[in-house]
Amino acid sequence: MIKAKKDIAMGIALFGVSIVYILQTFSIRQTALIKITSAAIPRVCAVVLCALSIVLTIQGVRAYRKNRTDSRTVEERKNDRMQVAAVVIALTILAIGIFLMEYAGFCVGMAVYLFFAFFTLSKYEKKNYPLFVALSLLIPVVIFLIFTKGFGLSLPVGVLGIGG
Amino acid sequence: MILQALLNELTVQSLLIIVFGVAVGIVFGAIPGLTANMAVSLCLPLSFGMDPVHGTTLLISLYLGGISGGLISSILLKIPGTPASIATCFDGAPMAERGEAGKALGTGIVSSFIGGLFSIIILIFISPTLAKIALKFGPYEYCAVGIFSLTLVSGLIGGSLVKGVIAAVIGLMLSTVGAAPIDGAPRFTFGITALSSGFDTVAVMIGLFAVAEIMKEARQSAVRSEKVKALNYKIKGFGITFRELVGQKWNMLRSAAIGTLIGILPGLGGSTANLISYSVAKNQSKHPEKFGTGILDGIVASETSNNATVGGALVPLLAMGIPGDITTALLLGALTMHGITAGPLLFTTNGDLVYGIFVALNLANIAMFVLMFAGMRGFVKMLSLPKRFLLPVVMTLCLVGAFAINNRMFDVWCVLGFGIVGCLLDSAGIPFAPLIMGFILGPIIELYLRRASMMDEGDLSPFLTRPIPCAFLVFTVLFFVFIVIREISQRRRSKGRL
Repeated sequence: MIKAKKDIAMGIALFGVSIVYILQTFSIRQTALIKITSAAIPRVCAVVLCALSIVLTIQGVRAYRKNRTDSRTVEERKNDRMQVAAVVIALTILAIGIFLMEYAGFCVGMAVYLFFAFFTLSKYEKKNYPLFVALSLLIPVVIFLIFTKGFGLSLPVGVLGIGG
Repeated sequence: MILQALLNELTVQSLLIIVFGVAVGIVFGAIPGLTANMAVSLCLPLSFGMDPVHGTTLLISLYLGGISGGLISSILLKIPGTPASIATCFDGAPMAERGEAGKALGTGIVSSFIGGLFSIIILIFISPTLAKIALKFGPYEYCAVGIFSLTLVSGLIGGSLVKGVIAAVIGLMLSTVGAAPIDGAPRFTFGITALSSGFDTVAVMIGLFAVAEIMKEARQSAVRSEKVKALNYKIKGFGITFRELVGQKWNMLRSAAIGTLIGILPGLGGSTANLISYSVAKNQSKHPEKFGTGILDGIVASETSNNATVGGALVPLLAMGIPGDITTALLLGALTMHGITAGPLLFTTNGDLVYGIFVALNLANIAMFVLMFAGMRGFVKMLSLPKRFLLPVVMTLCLVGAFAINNRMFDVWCVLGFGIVGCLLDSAGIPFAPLIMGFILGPIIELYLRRASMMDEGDLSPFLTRPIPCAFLVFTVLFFVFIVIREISQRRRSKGRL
């Protein structure tokens, strides 16, 4: 049932995406010189996606009608909710890390990211805070030095202007 | 002349350059986000201070090492080191999860070596002939090859055909973001300047594969689970037996041929070759259902073909002076900086350099084989590190790679964006591999289709009147019919079982 619901949701979402995409193709600049315009391929893709999203939705509805009962136990449902929450938290930590990398520099951003990533991924493990702090401070600095001094790459230095 | 070139290359200085180049290349290849192109472009200034033979040797070694190193993270972390190793993940990672990381790595290294060797032999003996054939490829031919390659995507679809095709179409749609080919009309940029160059393949790849791995670990760590018994990663010899190797001879030969041919055709390269070879190997296999579960065939197909593109890409460069990809364009630049003009006359005016390149390629291939095997046991030890520490550090390196592509934060944000898209698609069971294939092939198909339409004022009949595109389009139709028939018979069989 869960799979069927996901297929329906994805089908509807992709249908919406394909409609927005088709509408957007009408604002693409056309050149008379080329018979196959810049909008041609995107339009073909959008039409195909639109058709496939309808097929996916119909498949999902059919599967849902066949099996409407949720066979998961209370424990499994709780686990599923916890897993979704963990993914949202992990993505949020990554977003914060990238944001800090841009504005406060690579080392600061990645130190914050690493610390919270170690912390959240160690939910049922022994939390060794000194190790988390040491690794999250040391690793970005080492990476920063290797890539900037060793390979001559530039990394964001942020407003602090020191790479972190 | 080749003996003289061999003697020139067998000096301590040359060998050190080769070992340095291959080692740095492997490091760049192994770190997701850092690519062979990046290694070559970073070391390009170093080559200017060397004589032409040594300078070219360094760049070639970096190129070969970069393509080969990608298999390490593909197998051990399930994150492709380079776009040329995406298909290696499909069977390499499941083998590593079963405790067969050594075998997977050994197979990958041997396949890479054989793929490289095959393409070098082709390069040495029939490069001018092949380059002339490649030059006959015009927009119609390229477009037809692209369409045919896209149908091969069926080999990358696991379960639902609808979801697989949806993934390929999403990939094609993502590739249309940015300036349109030929006329440069902005598409789906919403006024954002950074979007005018579109999404970078590396950012898309890292977003989908690396973020997916972190999310998988986050999901696993969210619920209390039983302690997983530590796997024994002991490696015997090369990891792969001689019998297993012989059993893969046709797969290797076919994949090496595909890789070399794709390498010769400008614009395609290793990122396409590995996925196409994997699809072909799966479609040709007697047991296609085993692909993706961790079998040698998948690793052999991917790794043989991507290394074979190295020699293939040098064919048009040396024989015609036409670079096949970004790396060979950099090589062409390096040759020009030394006052050497690549092309048909190169063999007569600078024979020593050409043969020096042939010998350097062979030595670099051997150095890659030796260095990778020497480091194999060390690479596998990485698996004994807890994933809760390893994956965030790998993610940090991925972000470095994403930033280094164009020196801008936009690509880093793209990693996050595609990570979120990947999570949504993954939860709905939509596979990533066809998406990547659509994303890579989309611009090639569109560019050449539009060029073709310009050539004959919109008349596309040459697709049917010219032999090569017509043959590829006929293959495409036949292959499509074959897929539909297979799908129907599989459904009937599964209904019969119920």
